[in-house]
Amino acid sequence: MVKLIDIHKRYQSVDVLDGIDMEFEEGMITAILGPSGCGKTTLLSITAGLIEPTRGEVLGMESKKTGFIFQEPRLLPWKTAVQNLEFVLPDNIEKTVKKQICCDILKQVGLSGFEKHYPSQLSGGMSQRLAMARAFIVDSDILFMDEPFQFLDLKRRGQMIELLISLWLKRKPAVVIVTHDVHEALLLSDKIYILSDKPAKVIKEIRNPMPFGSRSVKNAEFYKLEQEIINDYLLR
Amino acid sequence: MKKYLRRISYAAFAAAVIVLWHFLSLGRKTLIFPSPYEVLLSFVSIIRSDIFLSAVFNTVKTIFLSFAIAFIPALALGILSKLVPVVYIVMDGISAIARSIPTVAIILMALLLLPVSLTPLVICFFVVFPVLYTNIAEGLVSVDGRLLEMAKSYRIKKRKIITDIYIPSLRPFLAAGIRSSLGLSFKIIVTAEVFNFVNSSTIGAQMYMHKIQIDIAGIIAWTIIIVILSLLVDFALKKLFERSEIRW
Repeated sequence: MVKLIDIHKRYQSVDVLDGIDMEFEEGMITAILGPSGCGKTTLLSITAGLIEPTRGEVLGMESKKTGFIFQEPRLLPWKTAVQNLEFVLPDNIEKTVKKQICCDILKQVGLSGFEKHYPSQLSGGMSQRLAMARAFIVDSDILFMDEPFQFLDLKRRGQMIELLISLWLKRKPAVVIVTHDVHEALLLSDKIYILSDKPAKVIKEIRNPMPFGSRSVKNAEFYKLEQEIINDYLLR
Repeated sequence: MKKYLRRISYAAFAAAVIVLWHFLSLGRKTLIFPSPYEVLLSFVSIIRSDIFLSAVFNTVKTIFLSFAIAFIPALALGILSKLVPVVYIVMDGISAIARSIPTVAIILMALLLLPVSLTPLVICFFVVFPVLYTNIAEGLVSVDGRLLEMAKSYRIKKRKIITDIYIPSLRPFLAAGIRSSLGLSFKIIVTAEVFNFVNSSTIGAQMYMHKIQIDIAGIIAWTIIIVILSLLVDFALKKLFERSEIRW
């Protein structure tokens, strides 16, 4: 389990995070939900060790294998799809084995036949699928996702969510996903932390009682919970 | 087809220049305005002369040597600029000043203060170093921070970040820097050689000889040779960088 204890972050004279406590459990998808610009990405970056908090502690991240899916794919433009995947794999894996692992994951994300394509030759959706493949290829213990579907249209967003769930179900690493979309948070996560406006505080922790199969707008419980979150917390 | 058309237009342009040149030279004295045919004769005679190969070899050798002498510290200081911000600020000022010093001032000072045999190397260093340094430093500074953050998030080793992110990011800047500075080196070295009378087996010294004899056709012929050499080197570099070019 990864624990955040009393995380504060101040940029120059602006308080961004104000005493955040959270827990990210193995085998669970946790969503951090909050208004745009409230400091969700900063919190994710602190958890992943990319930036330091002004105060507070992140426990349980030592020696953990991590993966990260950003808002944009962040692929190396001079590398092919396979080479982008190989980049994150450990150097001690044999070359032929590496290639096989890459081809397997490319097949899973529907990019078979694009092994030798460069990012510039892939569409936005395909690039994001490649970025997702990169995150899952490392067998990470904890996977961070920073609004990864933000720039995709509704149809592709739905496809990506389905793909994410299918990949996640194979190993069930801990996942922390940042989003401002209630619907997305409810579709994907087992636990939701709702943050306030800047300086961000946790205003509510919600356990999603619905299993994956039943998370749909057609489900009255799903719709009720969605409306509750919007009216009671986000529009407050 | 486009390539074919481009070649035809180049050839047509060259032919038009030669024809115009020929008509302008009609009725004028060879010493003042040689015709294309006279330049061609001079060109052939230079190529057939005993000194031609050694002159070309010596000049090209000096160009590459001085380029290497400028490249190594430019690369080292470029990397240091990325690591130590103070070095970047200081070097930014120094290279801006160095770029604005007139080449002729550097040539004259080097001739007065340094051994004559060293002057082409030193002059070329002062002209080429700022160009190379600026390209390398700017290339390193402009490495995409988002890619570095991605590498950090996957806990990629530093060595791999250098080989797989820094070096490919630097490549277009390096290619532009090397191509422009080598082109510049050709001009500078030949200019410096004109002032350097120790070794007559250089292109610059040969041009000076033609100047003494008021042989404009010879000077033009040597100029054409320099242009051809410079274009050949540039073409080779272009092909070299194209082979490892990235697809963005």
